[in-house]
Amino acid sequence: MAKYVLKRILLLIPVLLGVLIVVFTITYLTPGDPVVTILGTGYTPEKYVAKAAELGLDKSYLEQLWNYIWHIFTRLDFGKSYITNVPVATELATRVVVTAKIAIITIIIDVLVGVPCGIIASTKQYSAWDYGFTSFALLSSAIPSFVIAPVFQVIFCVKLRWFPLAGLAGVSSYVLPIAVNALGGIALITRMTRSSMLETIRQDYIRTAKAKGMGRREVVRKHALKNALIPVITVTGSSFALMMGGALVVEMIFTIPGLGTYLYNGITNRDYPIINGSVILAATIVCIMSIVVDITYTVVDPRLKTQFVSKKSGNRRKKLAQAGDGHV
Amino acid sequence: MVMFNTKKRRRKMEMAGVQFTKSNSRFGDIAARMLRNKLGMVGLIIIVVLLILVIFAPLFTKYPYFEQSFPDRFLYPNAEHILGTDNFGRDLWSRMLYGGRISLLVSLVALVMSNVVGIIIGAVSGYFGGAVDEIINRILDILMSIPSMLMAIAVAAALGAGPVKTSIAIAVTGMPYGARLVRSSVLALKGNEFIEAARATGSSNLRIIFKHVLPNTLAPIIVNATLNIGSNIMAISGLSFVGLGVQPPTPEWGSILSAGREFIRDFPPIVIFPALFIGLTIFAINILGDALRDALDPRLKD
Repeated sequence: MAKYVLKRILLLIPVLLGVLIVVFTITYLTPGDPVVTILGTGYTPEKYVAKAAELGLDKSYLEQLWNYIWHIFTRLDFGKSYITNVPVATELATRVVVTAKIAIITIIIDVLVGVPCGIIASTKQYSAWDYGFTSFALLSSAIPSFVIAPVFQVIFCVKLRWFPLAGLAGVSSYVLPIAVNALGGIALITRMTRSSMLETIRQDYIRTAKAKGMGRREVVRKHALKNALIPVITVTGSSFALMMGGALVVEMIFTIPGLGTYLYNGITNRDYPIINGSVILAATIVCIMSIVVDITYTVVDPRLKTQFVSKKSGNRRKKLAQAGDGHV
Repeated sequence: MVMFNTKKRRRKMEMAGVQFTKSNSRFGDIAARMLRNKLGMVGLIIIVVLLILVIFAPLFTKYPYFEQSFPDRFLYPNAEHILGTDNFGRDLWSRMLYGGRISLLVSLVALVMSNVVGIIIGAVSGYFGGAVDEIINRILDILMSIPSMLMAIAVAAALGAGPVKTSIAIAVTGMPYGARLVRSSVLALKGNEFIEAARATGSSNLRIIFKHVLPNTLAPIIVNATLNIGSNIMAISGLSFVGLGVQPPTPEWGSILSAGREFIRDFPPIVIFPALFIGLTIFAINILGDALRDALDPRLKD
């Protein structure tokens, strides 16, 4: 198992290298001159040349790319913001804590609410509960967070005055951002749990468990849920990763000093080191989460361990699984 | 040329006694299953109504979407202005209709671009396998490890704002997912005997891909595409919201919403109506997509 984890971590390097190249190239091809952005309008040609040399912008594409990658891999140096001149890495490090706090609490709420809702909806299929939960899930997945957030602000901050409108001051200011974030996640996890449970409940071993006289609750908990959890873990992991990197709109609306607002500032000022750094960090989190998710699989379903450990059979199974989910 | 060939083939086969009713009956089956799904029909009706409203926008509103009228600012919904007016006194109803044009058009253009490229890449990768597949897959891995919203932001920031550039940004973001889907379908199909038969009769790779493989992967592609329209609309609105999508004064649901956000305390309609249109459209598309999935492939049904 340790070998497998190590292998996955090593495989991360080429992927992240690819992300670096993609992100750097996108910015490189962007029209507009960062030197002009930094110096403003009144600059002399000498100043321009000096600044370009300082930033390394006078070098060729490959040299610049190499420098960018080298600095990140050796010193975690993502460059400096064009506007504030603060290193991007330091800002990312302080802001990731804020975003992580919100993301962790949100994902815990998502799972604690979503999984039971999904179980109820599936075990009581076509009941009022089922229709209630599914229509809630459908509705809240249709409303983007940048719609829910302002509406919540109007209701809870302006009209009812329960929570502060914006900023991070005390526990109460976390409530609304987490609620907005959690809504979508709960919907997703409920849907996923429901469909996965419905599939599992129809399996033969569930009928066997019922036939041998096991209680309903026990069947659900011991036999159905454990086997139905895999897709739920997948969405949980990916939605956590997305929140870490992409809770941009919610953070912006509630002016939370996290990664999202940082990225937003970067976008509005066309401050490319910030945009690149944020995107790379988000991609790294996504990759790490996918490893964590794969490891969690083996905890929930020990059968998968053999698949991960022996590479050959793993590949075969993976191919079978891929072939299986795409058939017509 | 291809059409001609097909017709010729068909005629030959018909003369040999092959009947071509099967595909029709299959379509009938799908339509029947579709019609039985009430929720899906609700979605379809909402979308058709929206499309009519948006395409024939001039028929349903007497105000141009750009006409400003200072004395008529911040009017609540009334007989003159069905949805009220915004901070410049522009009619919100006509802004919604014309805004929907941009939202829907951009999302459709993005959908077509991402699917065409995605299908070709996915089909090539799945069909040929080996080193080609390996290389394409690694590149897709890289693209997919960047969260789609951030990818769209990075590309949009590089390209700049505007409807065409926004659709390109969204298409780039969506492409890897379509490619993966097609690839896995193609992988599942590749071993089938009819592919082998086609190869045995001397069909070229291109012909096998377009004539035999892709038509059989249509169901997941259609379902995915339908659901993609919804997520594209959400992405466009999101991009406009952070100032990278469609810029004012061009009306677009997301940009109307974000422009109205500063007035939300005193004049909620300016935010609520675009929100309603976005939410309703995505909701309708989601339930239609689910219904389509169930109708096209009953086995996928949960």
